[in-house]
Amino acid sequence: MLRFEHVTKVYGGQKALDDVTVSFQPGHVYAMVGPNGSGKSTLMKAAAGLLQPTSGNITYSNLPIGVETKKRIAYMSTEPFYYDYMKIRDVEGFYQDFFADFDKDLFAGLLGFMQLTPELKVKSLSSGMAAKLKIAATLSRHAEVCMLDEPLNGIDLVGRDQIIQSILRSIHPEATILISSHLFDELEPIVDHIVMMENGRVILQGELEEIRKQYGMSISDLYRSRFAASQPYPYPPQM
Amino acid sequence: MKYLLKYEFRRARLALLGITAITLFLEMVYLLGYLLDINALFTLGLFGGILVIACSTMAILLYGVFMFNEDISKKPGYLLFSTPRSHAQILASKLLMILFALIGTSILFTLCIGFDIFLAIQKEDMSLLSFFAFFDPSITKNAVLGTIFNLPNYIGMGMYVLSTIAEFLMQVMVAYLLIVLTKTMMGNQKGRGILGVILWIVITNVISSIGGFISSALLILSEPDSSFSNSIDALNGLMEMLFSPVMYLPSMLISIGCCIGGFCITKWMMDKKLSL
Repeated sequence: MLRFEHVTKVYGGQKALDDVTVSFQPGHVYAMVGPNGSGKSTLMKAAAGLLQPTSGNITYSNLPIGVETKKRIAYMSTEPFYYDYMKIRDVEGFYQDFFADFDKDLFAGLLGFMQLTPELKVKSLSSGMAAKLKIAATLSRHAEVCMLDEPLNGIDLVGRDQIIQSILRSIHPEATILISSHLFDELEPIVDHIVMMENGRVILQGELEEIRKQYGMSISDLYRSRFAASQPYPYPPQM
Repeated sequence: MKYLLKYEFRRARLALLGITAITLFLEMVYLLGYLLDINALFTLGLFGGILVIACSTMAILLYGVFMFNEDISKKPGYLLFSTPRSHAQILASKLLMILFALIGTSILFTLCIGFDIFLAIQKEDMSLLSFFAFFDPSITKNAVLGTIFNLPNYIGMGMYVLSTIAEFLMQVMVAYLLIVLTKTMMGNQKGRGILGVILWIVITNVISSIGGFISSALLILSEPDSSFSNSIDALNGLMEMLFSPVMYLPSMLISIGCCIGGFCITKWMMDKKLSL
């Protein structure tokens, strides 16, 4: 289980995460929703070991985030992060060298599905192709926790379908999947839990169907009703 | 660690190939000028070679520092820091890459210079002994004794090279420490980049000066009385053997100490404070 306990992260006087306590269970797909700057990416980066919280604890399987957890947690950032000199086959080599859980056959399958060829240079890829490559590489790890930050950003409709399909065909039933996106409608069919954030705080979390029933509306409508109006949220966070 | 080094070298290969290509090109220009007696080419090759030796060392230092800064400031750092490797391993791989690059280019320069000397000896029909006599006339007085008693000079020269490498690594390590310091402790403070550069100049100069000061003190202590020195050549040689290499020891030890200290502090800051 991936657990955040009273985690706060302060950047230049601003709280990117504000006393966040939340846990993510194996075998579930979590949608991280919230407006820009709500803390979704910071939360994922903290779990990936890319940033140190100002206070609080983050653990995975009771281990503090570090070298051991990086072997078991895969993270894909919103921005492209491969070296410019790399070709797609170099990306494959990199993952193979560093991650024991990397499945090169799955990667080859996903590349084919996304119409990417190993000889393409990363630098020459369009933003959509680069996003597909990131997804293919991240999903090709049989990681226990897989975090995808805005995987549908800048992708056309067909590409989004390909990505959703790729996620569906790669998800391990026992894995914990975290997906952040503004395009919640398209993620709704594959997620089963929601974590909604605002100003660095978790304002709502729980099982998707329960929340739908509880509020009598879809998550997208709930999102609009919360963030379109600047009223304080009337419901306490669900722990 | 080997994979970290592998990818450090893959990233640096263009820069290293560039240095190698320029060096070999200038060597070719020099050789053409020397063998065909074309003064312009000879001069260009000679001065170009000297310039490339000086500049390539600086280029390796700057390249190493910029790459580290890029890794902790820009997105490709996500790839590196997501790998299941400790900050200590990442830091060590970067230092090793710079060290190996420095050693590699030094070997290349030495081979080029050695080849040039070999050709010069062949062309001028000169013996190796008389060639070395250019640098130390005592060799011709008694070749065997000269060589033996000048051996400490070569050991001293070796110590000088080691001391220079240690100082070079210390400069890189101080730069790494300041990059992490400006990225973590200084937060979003304005002018932190310029402050980092100023601090780097000050710190590296202070460390070098301390080493230089201790070496000078040792030199004064070890320098024998001039009348005594002039009268007993053998003793002079013995004194050189005892003390010449030692001259470089303080600055080398100080540089190594600063490198280790800088490494530990940088690692600690990365572990506790660094956020990409």
